[in-house]
Amino acid sequence: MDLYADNVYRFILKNIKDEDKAKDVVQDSFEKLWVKVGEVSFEKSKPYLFSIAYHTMIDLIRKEKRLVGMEAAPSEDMSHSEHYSDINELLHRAVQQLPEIQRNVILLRDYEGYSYEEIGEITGLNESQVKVYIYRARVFLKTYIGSLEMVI
Amino acid sequence: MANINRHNYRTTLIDFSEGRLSEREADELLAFMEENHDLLDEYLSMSNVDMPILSQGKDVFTEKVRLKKVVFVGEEFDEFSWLCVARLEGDASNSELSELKRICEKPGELSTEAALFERVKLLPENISYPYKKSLKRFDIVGNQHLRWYYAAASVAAVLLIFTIPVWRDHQQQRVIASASAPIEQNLAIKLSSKSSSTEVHVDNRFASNRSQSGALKIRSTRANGLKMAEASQPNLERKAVVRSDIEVAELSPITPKVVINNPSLLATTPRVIKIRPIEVKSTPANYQTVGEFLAEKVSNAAGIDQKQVKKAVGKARAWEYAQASISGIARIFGFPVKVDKQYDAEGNLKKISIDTKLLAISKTL
Repeated sequence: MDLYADNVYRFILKNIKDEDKAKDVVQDSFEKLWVKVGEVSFEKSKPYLFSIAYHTMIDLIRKEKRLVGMEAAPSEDMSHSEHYSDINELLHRAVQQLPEIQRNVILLRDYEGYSYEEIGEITGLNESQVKVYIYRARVFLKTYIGSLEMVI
Repeated sequence: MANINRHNYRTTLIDFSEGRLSEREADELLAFMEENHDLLDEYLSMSNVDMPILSQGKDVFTEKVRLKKVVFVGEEFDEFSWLCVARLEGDASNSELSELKRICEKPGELSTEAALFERVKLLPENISYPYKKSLKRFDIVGNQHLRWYYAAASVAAVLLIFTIPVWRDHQQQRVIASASAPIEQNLAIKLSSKSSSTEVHVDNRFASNRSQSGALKIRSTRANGLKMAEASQPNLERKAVVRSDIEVAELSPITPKVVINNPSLLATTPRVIKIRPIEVKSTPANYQTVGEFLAEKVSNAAGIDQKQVKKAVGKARAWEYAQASISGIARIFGFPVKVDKQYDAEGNLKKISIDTKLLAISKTL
C-alpha cells in the first residue's frame, strides 16, 4: 500500500498540480478500493487502483471545468521565458503543456512502466489509441526540448 | 553584328565562348571588346575560373526517411519519428533498429533529432504521499489498544446476548392482577402462580350493597371479628390483617392493580384476598392504594425477597453499561451511534434504544 499510495499520488499530482486535491483523490481512491477489495485480485489491485484514481481525477477536473465555466484555458504555446538547468525539469514542464489524455498515458508509461494494454485498461482506451497518444506526446516533448536547446 | 552594345554584349559573348559565332561575328565582337577595355578585362577574369564538374550521386537528399509515412490506425506519421519513438518504447524490431542506426550514423539533423528523442523519457520524481496511515483499512491484529477495545465490545455483546433472554424471561413471569372495572362492591382476588391469565375474580359471596366513599386509599382494617388497627393513628401499619388464608381490606371504588414480579415464587396454594369498600374517615396518607396493598400482600404471601427487585435494577444498570461500551467503541471507530433512554417519574430506566450501523437494539425494561 505504501508504494501504491506514492505512485497514485505522484500520478495525480502531476496531472492536476494541486497537492490538496491530489490527496483527496488518493483518499477517495483507496476508500473505493477497500469497498471492492473482495472482488479484486492482488495482482490487479494496482491497475484497479490507478483506474479508480484516474476516473476520480477526471471527474474532479470536469467538475472544476464546469465551475470555471468560460474561463480561458491554459495556453499551450511553446514559448520559453523561463530558464531551466535540468532536462528533467524541462520535460516535466513540457508534460504540463500536453493535452490531458497524452499527459496521462505518458505519465503512466514512464512513471509506472505500464504496458499499452494496462494503460488502456486504466484510461478506457484501446492499445492502438494508447500507442498513438504516446507517439504524439513523445514528438511534442522532443520538439519542446529541441526548441529550447536552440534558444539556449 | 553592328548592333553589339554594352547592353546586349553578354549574349554574344556567351555564344562566342561556346563557339557558336561565325568568323565575321567573332571579329565584330573582338572589335567591340577592343573598344571597351573594361568589358574585355571582365571577360578575361571570368575565363580564369574553372567551373566545377558536378558529379552525379554525391549530392543526395539525406532525409528521405522524413518523406516516408507510416500509417497507423488511420493516421500518417513521419517514419523517422515513428522509428525513434519505437526504439524509445522498446517496440522497434531488429531491422527497424538497424535502419535507424544507419540513419543516425550520418552526421546531420536526423542524428541530432534521434538524440533528442532519447531524452524525452520522464524520470520519476521523488514524490510521496504523506498520509499513508489514513489509507489503511482498520486492522485489529497489529494494534494492542484496539484489541482491548474489541474485547470490550465482545464483552458488551455477550452481555447483551445474555441479558436480553434473562430479562425477557423475567418479564414473562410478571403477572398483572387487575379488575376490569372499578370496584363497587366487595371483591375477592385470587392469586395463583399456576395460571398465566390475570387472576381477578369477583366473589359474590362478599358482595355488599353499601355505597362507596370517594377515598382512593385502602386502609388496613379488621372485619368479621378480626383485629383491626386504629385508622386514625399515624404510621399505622399498612397491612391487611391476615386470618388464615383470607385477607380482608377495605377499599374505595378504584381499579385495583398489582404487578407481581415473580409469580413463580408465589405459593402453590391459591390465596384469596377479599376487598370491600369502606368509608375513609382519616387522612388519606394513612392509607395504601389498592395496588400497594395487593403487591404487598402478594410479596408477603409469596415470600418475594426485595433483593429480587434490586436485581431488576441491576439489569437496567447492565444495559446502561452495555450502552456505554457501545458508545465508546462507536466513538473510537467513528461510526455514529444513537442512544435513546426513557426514565419513569422515579428516575428508573424504563426503555433503552441503541442504534448503530452494526447493531440496533430497543428494550423496554
